[in-house]
Amino acid sequence: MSDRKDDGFIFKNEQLPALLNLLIAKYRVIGPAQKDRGASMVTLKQPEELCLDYQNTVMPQKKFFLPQTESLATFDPLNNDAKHSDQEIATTILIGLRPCDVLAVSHLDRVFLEDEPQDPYYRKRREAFRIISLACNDPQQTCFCTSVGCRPDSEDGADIIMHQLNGRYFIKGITAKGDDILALFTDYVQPASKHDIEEKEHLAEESYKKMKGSFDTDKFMEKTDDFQASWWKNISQKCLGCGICTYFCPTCHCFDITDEVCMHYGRRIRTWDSCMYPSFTLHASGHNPRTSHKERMRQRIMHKFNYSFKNYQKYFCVGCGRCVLHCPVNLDIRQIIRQVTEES
Amino acid sequence: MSNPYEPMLARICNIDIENDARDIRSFKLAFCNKNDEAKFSFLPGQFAELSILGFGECPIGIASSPTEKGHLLFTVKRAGVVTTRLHQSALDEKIGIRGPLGNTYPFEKMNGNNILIVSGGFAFTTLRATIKYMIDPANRSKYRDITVIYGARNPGELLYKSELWDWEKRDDLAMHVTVDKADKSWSRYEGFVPAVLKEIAPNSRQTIALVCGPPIMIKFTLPILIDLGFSEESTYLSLEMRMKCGIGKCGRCNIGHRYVCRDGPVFSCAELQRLPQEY
Repeated sequence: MSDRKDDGFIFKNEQLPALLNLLIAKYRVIGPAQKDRGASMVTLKQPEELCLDYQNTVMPQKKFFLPQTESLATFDPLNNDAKHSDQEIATTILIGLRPCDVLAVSHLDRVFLEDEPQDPYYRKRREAFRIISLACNDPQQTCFCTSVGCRPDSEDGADIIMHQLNGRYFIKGITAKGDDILALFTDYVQPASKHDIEEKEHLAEESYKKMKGSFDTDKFMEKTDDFQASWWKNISQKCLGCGICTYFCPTCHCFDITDEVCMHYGRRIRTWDSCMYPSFTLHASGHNPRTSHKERMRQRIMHKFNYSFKNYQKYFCVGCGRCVLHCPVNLDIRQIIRQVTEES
Repeated sequence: MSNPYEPMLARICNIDIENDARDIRSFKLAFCNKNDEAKFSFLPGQFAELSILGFGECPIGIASSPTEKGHLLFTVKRAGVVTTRLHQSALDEKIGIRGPLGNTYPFEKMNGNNILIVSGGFAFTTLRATIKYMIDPANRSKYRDITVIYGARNPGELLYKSELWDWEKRDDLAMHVTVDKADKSWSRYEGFVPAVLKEIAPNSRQTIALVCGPPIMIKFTLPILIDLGFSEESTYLSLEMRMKCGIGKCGRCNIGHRYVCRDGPVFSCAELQRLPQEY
């Protein structure tokens, strides 16, 4: 793979529609488009629908691999035999995902693919999708990826990465699957020059600087080892327990499994669930190990910044800032981490 | 690839009502497909997800020993949606089963040692499997003295009663059965499990203790075990937690960075000491 290190390519902005047409002719292509409430991923019918001038999509992109509701099996409730889903998923290209959301997918891979047993539903989707990520030149106010082990140009999880340069795009294959897609573009792209690579690195560095040094996550992890610390109560006081942070989080992957029945049609589904809800851990006996917002918020923070590090040596936070942006009571994980790490 | 979410089909071939309150039943299940039985290789301590289409799944400890061929035993207390529906099941009804899941009691470590079993109430199920496994003629010589302390609120709430009285007659097993509150017919111990444990004071040398019971019993049992000289490394607990997937994915049953479904349900006290006290 080392010979691939620098072999990026360049194409002009005007050529983007032609390249997209090549992809659309061969694959299902999903990319960001501007909607009323911000950028959202849509299946592209025309190259013109794609909008790459955006900061980040409103929702994270985990839904492509772990849909909010997914059918595990269908059955007739009067008959005991269930049919477990094995629907085919067409090869699909996700273009224009931000590196933080793509890194989040590589985190989910650890849970659903690397930990035995593999999750067959996740695997099927992961194998069907190719990811073309788009490096960030212009982070949002709420972005903090550089504090949690991500960068505006992180490549982890992507098959191809693109950078927007002045009037042109830099594009580089990261995996063999990515190289296969790039091969379609041969007639349209040129090898990147030293100047192109310097410009891409300069832009990434500028973007990095806009966020750099916001807080010390490693120190925060050490602090969280104190499970009984008094600050847990303080930081959770205004939490409403609405769970919006978990739904908008690209790495939150907790799910529920339930059966739905309507007359002769039944299905076993899994749906996103949230550790912010009391029912998440409520035993049938009535006992609940996490009785208040304090325990539930501690769980969420520990899962992201402590447990995941112990299990995978990764923080399960990629700094996308969606939880900060959407919290109805303005809880800000950056502030919490600063406050806790600077306290002593 | 095989789908870990797909249950195997099993037929209910016996139902026993275990207690006077009639809210605990034992179900004997036989796999509908012989290949599934061969695949279902387990040791006591493990559990399975029982599944009834349209109602859902629930994690239940396996109460039978792998030495009991041809069927699995699950003792189920009626508590939630699935267990209530299960209690309404009839003989020959087919239900789903997914497993075996989780880890086992530490049989390798138990080899060559004395075994102390301390259990209360409805939590006796996987320890019943363990006793049955250890006293099997093929296995009994692997363990030295086996001591069992088991208690319930009253005589009518004890599980597996006829088996308990058979075990009492054996000379290779020291059974101590207690009830919180005796009735006229009761002639054995009366008192809480920790108190009986203290009275019997089993030798802790070269002894592995397996403990499973309600939180209040565990809370008072562990200090007595420590007084008797049991180390945290030689004392094992089997824990319960709300579960869904049973394979460490759905994120529900964690204690710290460990999942009870995958890394447990059996933990040594030494391991639990290193985890947050949140269970």
